[in-house]
Amino acid sequence: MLLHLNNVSKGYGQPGSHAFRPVLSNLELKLEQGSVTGITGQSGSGKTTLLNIAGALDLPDSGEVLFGGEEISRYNDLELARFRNLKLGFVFQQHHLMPHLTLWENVLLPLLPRKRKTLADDISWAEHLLRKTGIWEQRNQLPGEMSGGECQRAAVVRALINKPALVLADEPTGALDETNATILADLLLNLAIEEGVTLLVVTHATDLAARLDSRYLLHNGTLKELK
Amino acid sequence: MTLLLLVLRSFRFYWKRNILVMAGVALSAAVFTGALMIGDSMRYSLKQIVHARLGSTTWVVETSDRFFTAALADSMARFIPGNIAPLFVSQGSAIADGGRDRVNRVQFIGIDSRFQTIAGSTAYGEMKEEEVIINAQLAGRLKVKAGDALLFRVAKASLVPLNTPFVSESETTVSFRSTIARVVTSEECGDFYLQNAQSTPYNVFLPLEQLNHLMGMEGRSNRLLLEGDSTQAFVDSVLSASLRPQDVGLKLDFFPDKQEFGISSERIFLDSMTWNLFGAVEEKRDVLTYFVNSIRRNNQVLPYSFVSSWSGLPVNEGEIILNDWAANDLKARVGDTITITWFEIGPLRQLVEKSHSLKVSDVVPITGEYGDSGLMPSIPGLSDAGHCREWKAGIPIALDKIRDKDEAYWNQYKGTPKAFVSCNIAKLWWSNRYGSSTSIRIPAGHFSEEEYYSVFKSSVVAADFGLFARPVKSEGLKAAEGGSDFGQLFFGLSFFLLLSAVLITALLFRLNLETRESQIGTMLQLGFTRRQLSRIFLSEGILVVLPGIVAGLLLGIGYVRIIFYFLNSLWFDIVRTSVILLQVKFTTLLAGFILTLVISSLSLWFPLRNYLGKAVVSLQHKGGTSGNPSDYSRRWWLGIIPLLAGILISVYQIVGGASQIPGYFFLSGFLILAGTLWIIKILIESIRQRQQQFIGFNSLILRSVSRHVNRSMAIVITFSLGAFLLIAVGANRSKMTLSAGEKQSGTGGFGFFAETVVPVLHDLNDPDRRLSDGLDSSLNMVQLSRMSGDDASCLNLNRVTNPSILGVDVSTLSGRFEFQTLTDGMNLVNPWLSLKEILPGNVIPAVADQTVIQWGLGMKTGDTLLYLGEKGDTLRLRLIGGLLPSVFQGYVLVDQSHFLNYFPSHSGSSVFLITNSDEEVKDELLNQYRDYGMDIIPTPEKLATFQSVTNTYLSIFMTLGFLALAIGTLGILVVVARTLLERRREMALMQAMGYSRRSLVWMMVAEYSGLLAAALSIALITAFLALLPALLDGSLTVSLTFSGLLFLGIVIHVLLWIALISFRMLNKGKLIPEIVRE
Repeated sequence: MLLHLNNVSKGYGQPGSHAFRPVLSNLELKLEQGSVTGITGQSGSGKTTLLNIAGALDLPDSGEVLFGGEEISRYNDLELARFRNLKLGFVFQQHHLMPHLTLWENVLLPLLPRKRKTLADDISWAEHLLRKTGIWEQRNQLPGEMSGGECQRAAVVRALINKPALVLADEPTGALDETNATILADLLLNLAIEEGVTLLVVTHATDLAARLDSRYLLHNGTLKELK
Repeated sequence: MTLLLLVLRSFRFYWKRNILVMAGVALSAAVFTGALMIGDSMRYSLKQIVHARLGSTTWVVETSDRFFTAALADSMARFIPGNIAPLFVSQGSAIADGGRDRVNRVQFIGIDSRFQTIAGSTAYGEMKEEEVIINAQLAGRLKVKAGDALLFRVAKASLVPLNTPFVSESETTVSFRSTIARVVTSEECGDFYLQNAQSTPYNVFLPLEQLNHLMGMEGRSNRLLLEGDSTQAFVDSVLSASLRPQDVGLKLDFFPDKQEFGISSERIFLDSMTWNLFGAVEEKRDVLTYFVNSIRRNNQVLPYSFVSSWSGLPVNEGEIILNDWAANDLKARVGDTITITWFEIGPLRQLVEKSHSLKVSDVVPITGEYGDSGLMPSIPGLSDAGHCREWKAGIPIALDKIRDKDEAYWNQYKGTPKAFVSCNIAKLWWSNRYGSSTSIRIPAGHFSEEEYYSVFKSSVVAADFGLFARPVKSEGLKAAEGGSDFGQLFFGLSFFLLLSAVLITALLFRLNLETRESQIGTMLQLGFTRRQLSRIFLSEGILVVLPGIVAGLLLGIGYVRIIFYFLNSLWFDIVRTSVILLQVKFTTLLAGFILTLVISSLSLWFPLRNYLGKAVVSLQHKGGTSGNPSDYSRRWWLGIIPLLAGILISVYQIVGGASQIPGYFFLSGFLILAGTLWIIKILIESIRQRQQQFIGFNSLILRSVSRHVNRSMAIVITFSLGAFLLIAVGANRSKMTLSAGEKQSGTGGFGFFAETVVPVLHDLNDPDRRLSDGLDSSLNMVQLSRMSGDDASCLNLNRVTNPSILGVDVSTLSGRFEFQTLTDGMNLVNPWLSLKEILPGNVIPAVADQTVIQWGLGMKTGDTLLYLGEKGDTLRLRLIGGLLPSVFQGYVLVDQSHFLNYFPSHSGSSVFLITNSDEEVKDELLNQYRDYGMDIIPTPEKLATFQSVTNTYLSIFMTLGFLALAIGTLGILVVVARTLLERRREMALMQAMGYSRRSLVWMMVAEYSGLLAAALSIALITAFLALLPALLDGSLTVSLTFSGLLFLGIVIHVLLWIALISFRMLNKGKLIPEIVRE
């Protein structure tokens, strides 16, 4: 099992005060290696919180997050950074590309934390991904010179550059029009399958959700599997 | 792709923003390095002034009130390498344009060809009689040039101290007219001056012999200039070894008929030093001869006679010996009672007639030792008179009392004494501060001329006769080095400017980080560690900082030039020299570079650390997680504690009753400011936490204020700090003239302060004197004697060690002026009277302005100043009290009795405090004492001259403060502009919802007005609480008009910016499309 969220709870505000708002309650989620999973739910149901906890961006109030059987909440800052860099890939609703870097540089950016220099293997892997996503020609352009769809595709490539075990995608098609949303959904799913990456997607998009192996509904802080 | 490339890309992409940060860094570097350069330049300039005013002089031999022979230079030159130049220095006035233009305090310097080498100029080569050379300062002041003629009036120098009994005061000045042969510049040593001061003197150079001639002397000088490096001991020993008796005014006469040698002095009285010098000579007689008003027996009066005494005279105390001429005249016989009457002459020629009765013990013929006209001392105007009626004795002579037989006696016997009293009684009555003998008589069998010289040479110590050598060059350089540290001063004065620049740098950098918040979040998510990110952003920051510093160093030179421009014009009061030279030292630039790099790096590091400390989620999603509201109650105390501590310090000062100490003021101000700012921060943060059911305009504004707490606080901090400093400094800008009439004020309740170049020898409070001088009978004044030294007032930038001393009868100052500090044991009811005492160890008490003690001398009350008395004895002056700022600034005051004890030759008074304040009195005095070179100014004006220095410093501080506020405002404007851009969508949305443009602008204006009002309120509260002790003890005279204007200025300044913001908003017009575009 790649990821196991075991009995996870999370809330905002001071527990016990009237301002306290529970978001996740004793939530249970298990992801197998290579699985493609979707999570849906109403706005404010805690989908992003769940994703943040799964991606070691936030800590649960209680429960544990096991990655490959290892409790990640015990990691220190340095270990967490290393973990996120090597094991995880993130795709968000906004692409969050660096406006001052070219597409090529943005894609290679995750290589920097671990390596001082870009290696030939990395170059060919990046080229492979860019060609596959159809944005090879735009590699020398700045994000400001590209379309939203192209930027989002670049964000997907950036998420895969370190060959992560798990890609977490938060509304990856949310900011795109229908055509681009379809292209990106195809790309994401195909890449996950071809590269053997486990994918956890939070989405409202029914088209995308319909194409996932398994789907869960987040409601009242717990997950309910949808058939 | 490398980290370096990443940094460089980012640097290039954000170049517009980086330029703003760079500007902030450049400003910090310019201000910081500029302050250091100002310090270097001022020190350098002061040293250059020392070299310019002294030429190649390294040592000076000087006397307080004596004239040695110019040949002493030749004697010393045999031992000391380098040139030695004799000078005759005197003071006087220069008059141009038929008397319409006059300059007092002109230095007249008699020189010979040897001065050329010292000056390093041939300008002084061939000086002719009737020609003078003047310096450019005097030429400029009188608007004259070479070839023009000027009238000069020089203080009459005399070999005899002018207040010595029986010395005529008929001539106090000598006038002469000369043509200006040449105008010399500072480079030609035209500004020659031996005192440690940076101000340029008015100099007149004339031939040494001409000045001697004008003074009725020959071959005399009172200064020797020495070149080369020598030690004090060496110069002292050479000086003593080179001295001859005539250099200290001693002369040897041989009386063949008596077979006696007589040692006497040009100064009439011989002091104990001379007696000691010849102490080992055997069979000597100590002679004291005095001029008495009358010798009387019943109704028989013998007017104006010399009475003599000597050791070994066969007469008892209470007895008198008459010569037969006197006995016949008085019809006196042995056993008769004789009354003699004489004048005891006080410091200002106050005459007190004394008399004493004695019994005639013997009547002797006018022969032998009783017929010795040489017993009469050589008194100019008296002993050399052809007739009794020609006497000029310095005392009133009733010519009608002089009979023909008195003239006949004078013709036959000259000043041969007519009566003789015992040595003890004579010394008791007639010893005075100038000495207690008029000659030493030694039988020829026990003495010779050769012995005279050899005894003198073997025993004399130059300092005993008031000849001192001092290393004038090294002292000057030391005074320049230790003088006012303008670097430190301008660092302090520019502190707010520097703080403002650093705050703006940090704020702009933080703003840049804020706009790149999501980038930081993304990079953290991509696996960058915080350390890597801080390295990346800090590297980027350093890339911005480095060119900023380099630009700042160049700007710093410009900044210094601008400051110097103002110091030479608007702020001239604090430097009083136009010779300010820029010096750029590599070490200073390096220091500026390193320190600015450290400060700037820290100003980047703190916001970066703060940002990187945030959780990844909160960076990715702006505004993210919120703080815990329960923390706020605890954090309130973090504001309340410093606030209370600051108030307690103020209360402590009020209860303690001491005057406000600047350190306490700034400490309490800082604590109160920090406390109130913290409370405001908590208040703003708590607004964000507040939950409310309804919203209105006000709550919308408050929400807006609390949205970016740090940005809001940056505005509050900048403006409150700036306004606090400006209000506090403005309040300290005192106007002394407000209480000028009061006795406790700095004027002492006196109306005028007058100074003369030539001392006035008599008592101007004497009604007879006033009548004879044509002065108003109601005139009342205090006369002070001045021993010239260095000016220790704030007008002198050098650190002086020997300030001028004023001797005054301190009882005349009772109840006047106010003491800021007093040492233990002082008379608290009338501290002035403490000056009459002598402290243990023969230490003399003295007082000075507290500012002089603290800043001019770098000392504190209780410390001791060391001087050399006229007789070479060490004068220890303990500063027992410090006055509040007064007209005495620059001087040290001692009681007149102590003054005359240590400087007995000092004659007359040169400083006057006049109780009247009528202009007529001023005109009268000026008219009467014009030839004395009198300058007279109202005391408030005198005080204002000193106050102008303080106020100029405050002006600089405020100017730089306003500049800082303006720069701070510009920085804030950038923040506001950026905030506005960020809120365009929000504004558009609100317009779409139906908010009018007017209401939106009002909200914006109200938001920033509120922050500024908070800042100004904090500043007012802080200034009030911190200044409360000074306000209550009355030591602070708050100029409400000035503070009000200042406050108004700040408000207008602020409102202008708000208006600009409103204007910007109104003209941005089409906001709604913004939302459509989004």
